[in-house]
Amino acid sequence: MKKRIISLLACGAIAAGTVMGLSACGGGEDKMIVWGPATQQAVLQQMVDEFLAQNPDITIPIELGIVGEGDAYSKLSQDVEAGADVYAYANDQLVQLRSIGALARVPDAAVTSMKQTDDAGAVESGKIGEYYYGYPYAADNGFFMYYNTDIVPADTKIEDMTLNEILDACAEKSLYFIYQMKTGWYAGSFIYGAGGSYEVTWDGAEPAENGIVCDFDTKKAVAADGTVSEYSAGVIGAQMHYDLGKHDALVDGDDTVITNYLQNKKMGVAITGTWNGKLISENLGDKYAATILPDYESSLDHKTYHWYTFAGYKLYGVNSYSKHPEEAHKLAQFLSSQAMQEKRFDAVEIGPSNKTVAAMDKVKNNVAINAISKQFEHNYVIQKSMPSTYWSAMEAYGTNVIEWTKATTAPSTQDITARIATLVQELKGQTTPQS
Amino acid sequence: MAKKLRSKKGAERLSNAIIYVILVIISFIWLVPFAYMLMQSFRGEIGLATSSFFPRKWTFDNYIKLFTETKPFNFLKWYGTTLIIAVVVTVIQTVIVLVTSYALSRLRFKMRKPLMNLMLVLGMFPGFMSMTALYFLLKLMNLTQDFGIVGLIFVYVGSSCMGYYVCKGFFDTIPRSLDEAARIDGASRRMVFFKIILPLAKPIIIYTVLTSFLAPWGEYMFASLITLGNQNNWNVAVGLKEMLQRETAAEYFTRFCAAAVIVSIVPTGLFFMLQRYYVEGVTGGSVKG
Repeated sequence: MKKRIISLLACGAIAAGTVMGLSACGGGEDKMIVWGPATQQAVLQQMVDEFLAQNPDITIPIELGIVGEGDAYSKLSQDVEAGADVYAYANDQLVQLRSIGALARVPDAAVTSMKQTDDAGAVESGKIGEYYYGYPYAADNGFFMYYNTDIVPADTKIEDMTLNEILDACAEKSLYFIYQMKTGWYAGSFIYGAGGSYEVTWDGAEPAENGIVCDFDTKKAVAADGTVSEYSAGVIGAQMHYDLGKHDALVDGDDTVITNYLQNKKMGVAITGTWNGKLISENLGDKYAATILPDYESSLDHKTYHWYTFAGYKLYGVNSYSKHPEEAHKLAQFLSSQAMQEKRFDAVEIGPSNKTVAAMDKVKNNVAINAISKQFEHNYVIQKSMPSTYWSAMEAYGTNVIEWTKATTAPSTQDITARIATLVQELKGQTTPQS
Repeated sequence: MAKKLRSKKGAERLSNAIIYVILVIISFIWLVPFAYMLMQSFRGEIGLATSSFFPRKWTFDNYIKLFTETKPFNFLKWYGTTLIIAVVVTVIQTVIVLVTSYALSRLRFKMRKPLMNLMLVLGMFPGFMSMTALYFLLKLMNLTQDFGIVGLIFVYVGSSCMGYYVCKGFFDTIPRSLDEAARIDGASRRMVFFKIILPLAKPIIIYTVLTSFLAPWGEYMFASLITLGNQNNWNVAVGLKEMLQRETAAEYFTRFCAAAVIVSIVPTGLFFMLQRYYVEGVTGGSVKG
């Protein structure tokens, strides 16, 4: 009996201790959390310190957390209330973030000021309807052309060469042109360059009914000189996609392939983004250069077309559930200000969205960031929130183009037209991609 | 007769040769990824993956940097956190499993059979089904994010008594007559457990220690969920995954491989040291269900 009493008492004590201990730390201390990617943690800490020094009236402690811009939605959707007060996100998550209430509206005064200081595309990338939901700080998520200067003939400028000439120049020097033929992010680039467009109207986190508008099959292609082709944008784009894939100099591959070709000294051109800049410059040394995506001459109507990148931006968002909305907005605005964008560039070479910073000599001297800034001036299409069907449909189409390049006979224009019609249906969600 | 014998021997040799060739091929396939990871960890050139199996430039820098650089990735801290969690979980879980198994093996009480069945059935539900519920429960107790380590220990230790099965099987193989003799001599249940059963159960204790150590060692799902962006409480799995983001992958891939080697050293060492008991534990425990 005695034993039983003791064990009961012991159990009771443990239970009581646990409950008390837990409720003691419950409630949580008052603080703000800021999320940013791993590489920016050090500079982010400096910025936060500077912010607190400049605003002595703000006494709430600010803590940092590592969450990359691309992971903002997946982390916040887990528990939006426990998420950061201020966080960095990539603009293609805008709609999803808004749908879970993770984004507060940017006050009108801040919108007016960022419209003056920042790149128009970057500001627009945080817009839903007529309201804005983010403070842009980076305009660098896109692809452009890194090249080995060996492929450029002595008396020529790379900007004057077409894609077709660049491919031939690579082949002549026994170098290779590396491009990801089927990945959804890259696959639509020729079609957008020829004037195709794809727009989604959202109803919460899902596309609204009949909310996807895509004109790849109906819009006539528009050449670089403004003339209109007899072919649709989709057909012109797909034909070039095929011609590129068919060329001897082309290697279809991702970042690992780029590494391999660099180490074997076989890289002529790589179509990729700023994250590979260090890798390529270290391997190419003096021969390292980068520029915008070249124009191409279509084998169908022999007109010249632009080649577009997807343009992705990074913004600071304020969580609607933040307990300190006023301070959070102030901090987000501070983190995306001109001075902080310059500081961020100095520390980790992030391409700025602020026009003044982008025009600075030190930014222009950075080969990769200069190239992406130029690419984002004209030849781009903003990568907005995409439904997942977009990526699978594009990948199925890219895979199909690769199959054509391996076949003995080239696809006829009818084949290509039919495939583009299927692609449009798949993009609109009317049929499911087969791959 | 002699001829027949020789041909029998020949056939045996041939079949052995075939078996060995197959085994060599299988072990080669099995070992290549490990060898590749090891080689990459000594690679001097940056980049995600190279065309050559062996590094062109050998270096030990990846290991040195892993422990000396704390920004942006603080590997040493993740390693410490993982070790703390794993050790605490191992101690608690081993105790719970042993006492549960002892009770179920030796004591006879009314709900014993239904309880065992219930635990078996509950154990069949995949853990990730309860993930979100667990997260919010822990959040109510403020054991996520800042106190994520405590929360994680709760998650890993919780339900550990359901792993009684192998251990109970082992206890069943220890003759009950030993207990009875001790009981007649005046030993209590507790004394039987400590003085009779435990000294005989060394293999299964070690087996339990090993399995309870390994589970939290490489766990990713819960660790990522419960710490939610708070890198102070990350374990190695969550931290290392962050190393391979698109922006950092090219630069940190070799260091990632070095980290993977370091992470695998502890469990490998444990296994080598305790291998003998481990085999005994598994086979002993499975004689009788």
